[in-house]
Amino acid sequence: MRKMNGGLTMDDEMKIEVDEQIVKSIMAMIILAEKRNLRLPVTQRKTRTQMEHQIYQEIIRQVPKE
Amino acid sequence: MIIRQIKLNNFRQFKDRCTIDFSTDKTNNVTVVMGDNGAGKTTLEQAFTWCMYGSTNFAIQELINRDVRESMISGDIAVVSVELLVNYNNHEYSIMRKQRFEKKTTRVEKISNDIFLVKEQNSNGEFIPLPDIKGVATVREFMPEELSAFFFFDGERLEHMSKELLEHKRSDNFKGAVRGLVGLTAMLEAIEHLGKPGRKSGVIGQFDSLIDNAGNSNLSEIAGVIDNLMSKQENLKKQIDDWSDEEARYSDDMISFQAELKNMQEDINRRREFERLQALIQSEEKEKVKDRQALYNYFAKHSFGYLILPLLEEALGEIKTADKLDKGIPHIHADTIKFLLERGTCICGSKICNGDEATKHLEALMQTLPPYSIGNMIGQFANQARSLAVRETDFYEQMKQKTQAYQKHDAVINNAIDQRDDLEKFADKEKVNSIKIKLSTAKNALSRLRNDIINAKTECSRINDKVKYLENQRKEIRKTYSKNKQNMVYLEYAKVIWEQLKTTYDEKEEEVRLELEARINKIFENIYDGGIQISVDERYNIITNIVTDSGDYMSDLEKNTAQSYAIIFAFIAGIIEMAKNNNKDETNDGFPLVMDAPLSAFDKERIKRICTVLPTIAEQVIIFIKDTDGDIAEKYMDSIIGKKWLIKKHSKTVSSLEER
Repeated sequence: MRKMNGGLTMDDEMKIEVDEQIVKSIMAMIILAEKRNLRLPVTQRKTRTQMEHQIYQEIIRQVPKE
Repeated sequence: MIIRQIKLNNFRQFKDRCTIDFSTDKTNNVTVVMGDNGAGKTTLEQAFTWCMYGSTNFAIQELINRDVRESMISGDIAVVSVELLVNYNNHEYSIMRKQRFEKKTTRVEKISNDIFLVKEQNSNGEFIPLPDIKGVATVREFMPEELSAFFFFDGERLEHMSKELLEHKRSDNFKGAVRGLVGLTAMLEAIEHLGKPGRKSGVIGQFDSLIDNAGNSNLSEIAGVIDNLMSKQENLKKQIDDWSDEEARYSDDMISFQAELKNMQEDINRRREFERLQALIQSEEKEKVKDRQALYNYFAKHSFGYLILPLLEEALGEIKTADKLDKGIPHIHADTIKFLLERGTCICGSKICNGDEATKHLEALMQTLPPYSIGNMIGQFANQARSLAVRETDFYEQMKQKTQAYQKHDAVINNAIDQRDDLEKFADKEKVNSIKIKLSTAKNALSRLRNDIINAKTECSRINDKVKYLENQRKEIRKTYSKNKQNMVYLEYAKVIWEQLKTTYDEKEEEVRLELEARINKIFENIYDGGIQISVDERYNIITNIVTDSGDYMSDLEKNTAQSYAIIFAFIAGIIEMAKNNNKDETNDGFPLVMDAPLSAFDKERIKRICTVLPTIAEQVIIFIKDTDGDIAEKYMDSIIGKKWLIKKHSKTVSSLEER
């Protein structure tokens, strides 16, 4: 791996820090949404695209803005 | 959940209303449903799944009874329904699914939206309907849908799983069961929806494309290349998995071919010995014929002399006492002397005259010669008789020896026949050659597959390096666009969430797989002979090994149907045990096991064990057996059978139920 200034690797320098609490909170919300969906009769469940969109929105909602 | 009753209405073969009450007794917890092939055993099993989850795996999906369908006229509406009465957590519930059909001008069509209704009995004994969503959730609580296929285990699944085992295939059934037992379906769904990092699909893919679209065309290009490479890598991994399975199968085949050849080598040696003995028998038979002929010939030639020996001896005794015997000249007849006298010349040439001494002597001699005297003849006879007597004295010994020589052949032949019969089973040469060809094919295939796997792995690793390189390149380019920063943070969160969920799920799945494996082994030991270790690798290949006395594992043993069915029984029992274990709050009062039981595939001892073990694992057992297995079931399970039913087949389209 290519070394950057100060002995850090490129990956180290580019590493984006994540807040573990926020990760846990998003994860909980996602699982909850999935569980809710699975409880529905098959014909009434949300589609794959709808679920992906819901997760996508959840991440945008909870991740802090710069 | 304990099933009290099932009510069928126009469901496949079951025309009009049919009801079965199941045994809910804790001791006699087995309900036996007997039926001939095609009577409707599988239909009945599928009725449970259809009622609870709305799905079936019939090849022909039509649910309505054919007679009912045929009798409908335009505008008629017919109803197909299944209702289950169950006990759960000390409450009674009714689960009912109803599907209506309408006869349009030419065909019968489903009326959309089937009716699914779950009712709970209140303290007044009335059944109160639950709201739609709560009804679905309640049934899932009774029994998770992912596991239902193992609690309602039909003959088709039994065959499928048996095939997986016998053909050493990867077991999708086992994988499905583990996933169902992990109970993290929601997590699995979330992992799927987040999408694999690097791929264009899923939430992660959406963030990736958001960043790339905000960047420049290079980024989109790199993303496309990465996606292609990862897709190629996934295909290669799948290919490696398939090849590895194939490699394992060829490896197994090679072991079995080698073992077969080894057995056949013994057969070949036996065949050689067989042929040697066959040749020996033939040559001995010939010698026997020769010796028999020699015996007959000898007897024919010598038996007369031997038989008259006592007479000869008596005659010789008599002759010995007679005094005339020494006076005659051997081989001279009286006519010879008479001729000499008439000629007047002796043999020596001397003149003989009437009245002289020589004439007198000859005349006296003539009186001792035949025909005047037989003394000489007797003398000759005596000589011949003595010579005969001497010759035949060893007749008995000779006969004895020749008979022994003859009989000896019989002993050799009989012994050789016995040995030959013991060697009757031997390999045929064509089979040996065919196995040698198969072995050589397997060797070649194995070597080709191993090469392919190595090449594919090298290619995978090359792709991996390239993806890493491109990812870094992408990151660097992305960094130069400030508007990407926020999106990259979203992406990082999505990736971290995916990794954490994946790791958690994989760990849990591994844990459940190993626990199920251990349980299966324990149960299998109880229902089979033991001495066999069942293991399931991370790719869900089921391997059975013989455990030797020293505790080592020997190579995969040859599987048979009874063994594979026993593994399946152990497998189902293991799932039930684990499902019970997962139900720690004990809200569920038990699990029913509804399954086909091909009892006739087992020997008596194993039937006994299976019939003893299964009802102790599941709180309720509903088994479907063939009519012909009825006696076996009665013999081994009579003490635990609570109810018995017979499916009576009236025609191809109509069956009914009768309590026995």
